[in-house]
Amino acid sequence: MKIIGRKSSSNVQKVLWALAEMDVEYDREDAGREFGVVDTDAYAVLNPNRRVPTLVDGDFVLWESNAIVRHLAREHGRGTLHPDDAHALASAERWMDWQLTTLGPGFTNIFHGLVRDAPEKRNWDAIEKSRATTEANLEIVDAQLAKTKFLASDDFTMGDIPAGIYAYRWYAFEGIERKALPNVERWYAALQERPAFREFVMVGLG
Amino acid sequence: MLKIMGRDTSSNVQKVLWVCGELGLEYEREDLGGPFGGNDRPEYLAINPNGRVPTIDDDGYILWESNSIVRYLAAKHGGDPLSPSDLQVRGHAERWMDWQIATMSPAMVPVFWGLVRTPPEKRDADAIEAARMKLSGLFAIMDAQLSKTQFLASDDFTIADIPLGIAGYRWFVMDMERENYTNLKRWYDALTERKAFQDAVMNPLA
Repeated sequence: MKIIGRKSSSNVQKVLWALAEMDVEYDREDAGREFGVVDTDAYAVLNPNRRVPTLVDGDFVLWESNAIVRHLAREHGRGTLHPDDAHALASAERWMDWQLTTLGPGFTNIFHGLVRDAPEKRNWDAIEKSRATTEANLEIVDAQLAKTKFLASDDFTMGDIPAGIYAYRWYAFEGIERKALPNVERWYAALQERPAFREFVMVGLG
Repeated sequence: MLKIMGRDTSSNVQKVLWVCGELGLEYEREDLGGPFGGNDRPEYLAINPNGRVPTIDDDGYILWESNSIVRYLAAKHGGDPLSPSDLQVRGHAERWMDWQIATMSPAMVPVFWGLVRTPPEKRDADAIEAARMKLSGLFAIMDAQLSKTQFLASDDFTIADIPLGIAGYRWFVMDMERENYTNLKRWYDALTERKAFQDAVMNPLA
């Protein structure tokens, strides 16, 4: 099995983190941003969106990072990353979908503004709006984590993976205002104890 | 009994109503959101902190995020082929569902708002056409898939066809120019023959 995508991409990191949690072996090829590849015709055949990651396993090709994580968890992580209980499973998937619909789009401007834009080109209004939106979204996470230790249940599941990557990035920003969110902070501390999280997610912002 | 909260003109509520129709499920529905309001009431925010629709209450189990609701109900009450058990078909089905929320929905919003929710005299024709071209490129990706399989994830109708079938309805009924995607049209025509699609989706756009 091969994963195509640069290690600095948050979407690639979801897959690498999940694979490490389940101790699955794979090959990886760099693609995207400075590595290119995604603009080639050969890549478009695999992934017509020209984004990363893409999973290639023989004839089976899959893109969309959360769908890849769920697929791998279904294959290798039943009862752990992929909950057996139908309610815990649906709740885990719900937090994954919520990252795509809500947490991710709200975070784009603060990330691009602070990490990718040169200081003199930063749009501070957009950055502040995105910061406030992200803080409000993390309050939603905090309210859930007041009820359960992890997002879908008291156990770590695939539901924690997409939001966990955003938590790293949120706490890695320097000099931004952050409201105290005690449940998020407890959860984030627990994620940092996981070797797979440290190896694939806590790698700087790029 | 299953309770669905959300106005039936919402594309995200329609996903849930459509899957209930396919499964022959009985439910109660409460109008909420849009002209009905109510989605910012504290008692609603307590169960769905995003204040959006739909939310379901399945004998006390609360779930939001429409695609997760579709998967939950299809897994609980259905099985193959609607809720695929084959790992690869399942991966493909979930991939198209994620792609709808990550990619199709953000591209649909400006076209839908421009043509359906903005009075003709206030429309920005150039902006709508630019957005329509982008949207068309996404339907071209679906058309390419549908040249290989009868439905999006396989030759059977699955959960993958639900979110994108609603996008397909909007593509085919909005008052605008459309490229001739023959596989997409064949797929869409097949959807229009389904009673559950007619009931839940083929209604005036609002």
